Amino acid sequence: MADQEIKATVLVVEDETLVRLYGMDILEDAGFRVLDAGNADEAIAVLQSHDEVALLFSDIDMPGSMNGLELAHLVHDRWPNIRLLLTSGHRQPTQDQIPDDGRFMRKPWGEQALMAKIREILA
Amino acid sequence: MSETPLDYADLFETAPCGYVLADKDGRITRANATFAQWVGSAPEELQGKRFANLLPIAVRIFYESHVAPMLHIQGSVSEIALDILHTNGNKLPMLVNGTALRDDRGQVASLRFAVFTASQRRNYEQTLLHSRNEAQASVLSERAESELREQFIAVLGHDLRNPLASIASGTRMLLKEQLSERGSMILRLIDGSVVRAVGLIDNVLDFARGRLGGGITLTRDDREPLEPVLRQVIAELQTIGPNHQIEAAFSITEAIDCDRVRMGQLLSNLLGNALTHGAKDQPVRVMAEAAGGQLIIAVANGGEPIPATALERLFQPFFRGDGHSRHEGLGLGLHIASEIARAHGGTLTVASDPRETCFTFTMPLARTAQA
Amino acid sequence: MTHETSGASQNPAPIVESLNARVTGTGERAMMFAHGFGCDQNMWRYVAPAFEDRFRTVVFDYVGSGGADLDAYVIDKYATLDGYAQDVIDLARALEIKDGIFVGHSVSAMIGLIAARQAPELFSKLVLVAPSPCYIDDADYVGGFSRAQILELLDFLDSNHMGWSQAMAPMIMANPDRPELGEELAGSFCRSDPEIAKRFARTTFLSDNRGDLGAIAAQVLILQCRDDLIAPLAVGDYVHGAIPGSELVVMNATGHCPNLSAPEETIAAITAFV
Repeated sequence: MADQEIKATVLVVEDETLVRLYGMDILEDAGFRVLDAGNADEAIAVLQSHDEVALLFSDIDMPGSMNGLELAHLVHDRWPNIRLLLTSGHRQPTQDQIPDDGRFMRKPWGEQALMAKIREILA
Repeated sequence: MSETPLDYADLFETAPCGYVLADKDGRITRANATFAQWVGSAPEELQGKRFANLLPIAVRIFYESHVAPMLHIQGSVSEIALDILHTNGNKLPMLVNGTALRDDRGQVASLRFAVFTASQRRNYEQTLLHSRNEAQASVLSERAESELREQFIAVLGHDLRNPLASIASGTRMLLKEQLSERGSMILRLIDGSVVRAVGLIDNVLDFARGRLGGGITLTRDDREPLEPVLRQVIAELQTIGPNHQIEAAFSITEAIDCDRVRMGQLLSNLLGNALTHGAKDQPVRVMAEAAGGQLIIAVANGGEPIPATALERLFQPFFRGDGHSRHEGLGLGLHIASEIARAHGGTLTVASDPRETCFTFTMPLARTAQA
Repeated sequence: MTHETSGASQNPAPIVESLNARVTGTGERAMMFAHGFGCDQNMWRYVAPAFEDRFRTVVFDYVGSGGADLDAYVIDKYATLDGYAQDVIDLARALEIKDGIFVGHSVSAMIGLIAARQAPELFSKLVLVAPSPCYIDDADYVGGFSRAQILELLDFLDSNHMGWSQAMAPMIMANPDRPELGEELAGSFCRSDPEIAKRFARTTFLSDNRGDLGAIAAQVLILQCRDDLIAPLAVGDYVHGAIPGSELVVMNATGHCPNLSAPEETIAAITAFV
């Protein structure tokens, strides 16, 4: 990976620890800087203290005050520049349920497919 | 033949039904002998009594609030079930027809009642009603139970998938570490187990949902290519049989309007079968091609052919072969695959001979956008 | 199958339609006729027309009776007479009735009292025909029936579908050989859904609405039949005594439905009052 290029920052939000680590792993291998959170509240705290996040990559079903879809809506309202990619193993939201022109990726992720998708969104 | 004049008086008195005549206020002017005998009275004793007074109080309320008004409005009633009191206090179930006769001014002038005994019929009705109520209650409780069952299965599937996803993520991360050959092989086997387990859960959940009336639901669109999805399935399932060669040939040049997740599931079920039951020393061949208005996906393996008798029942749920193979599985994979085919308006067929066994999925490609 | 809807506030069909209300006649004031348990608006067919030349006359069916909308039946709403009173209020308001006359038979008499108390601007005169605030005897009160007898009635209704099913005869039973029946098909009177009828009976015969008697702004006329099993003389006296300023007329008619068995006498008594 070219270390000279400005690395974009992605926030990975997922409550299942190993799955979160794996997602972070894939993204770091693809050259991104990665921040992480275990639920929506933690994610909001991260976003409040880091203004360089370019993409929110979040699971939908999470414990806590809100799920990934609701988090996406909130992020879209408060930080409209942040792109959105949601993921789930159970649900398949329709396009109009995801704010902005946020995208969706079904679990389980193929590594290549996930990296390609994120590069596409941030291009 | 000369006609004998009818003895109307006798016809009235000894009719096979009770006959009661009353004035406009319902006071009995004449009751026939049959009726009198049924209620244990002499006909003269009934004269002057209110017809309604022959009914138990509860039935009288019904009579005054519903039957009497109907007579006045409609002019007649029929098949009214009433209990009539015998002088000994017993209630006699009866069916009553009534008519109201009007005078020149259109006012009700008199009433006539024909009365039939109905205790057997009433018993029969009671039994029917009782059975019906019981049946209704049991339907309700069955429905409640099956809702619970469905929720349970959904939660179970959900809860099972999470730890499996964790294990899969962990093994994939470990595979990137510095490991011995043996270590890597073990991780790949673990991964293969997870893939099989997830496939099982998917099939079981689908089956449960299908049986409970949901059927296979699809979310179709053509916004993303199909080939990567199929390739990913092959990559995943390779972990089940790491030394079993899989040859893939793809020729899909256009966007396919389908449910890609379901397509993946279909291929996964077919490929899983091929890897499990096919000869290990012969490659499994996967072909996917969009041509001539159709999408065709085929999976072929070598090995013992499937007997003709089994071929007929292959796509039925829980069909597990004849016990020859060690790996029987749940018997759901092919059934689900055929349901997915059907939901897409396509077919899934099988051909099996000593040379190869081949499952072929064919689906017409929609030319126009779906409504 | 029970007919239930969750919450009455989900865009209900216009009340005039769902209660099968018919408005005829002309006049400044309106006269609303309400049927009692066991029948429908047809029970006023000999009485209501007599007032059409002077009043805007309204007849209707309660939910679950006659031609009213069965789907509008909500178990909780109609478990007490208040639910029925609400329908009366809603209908009166929809028809813009003010200072009107309410004529209620049997249980409708109490329904009218409840409605008039809640919305006094709707009705300035009430005619209570064969009313009873409570059917079950109690300490010093003579309602006319013991609790056991009322429960027996409810049981009897439970097993007497035959009695109602005749009323629910489908339209195809109309006799094509007798076209003079015209729109009045046999079996289309006093219709009721058997399940709803049972519940209406429960509500009617088990409630104690003595508390709804008492002083009321509207003028009240009580028409009492001489020999009425369901609303006996003692009850008429009780109601009369409990509503200060009310008028009691004991009719020659017998039975519980003078509007059917003695329409002329009923018309005369009401005419004198309005």
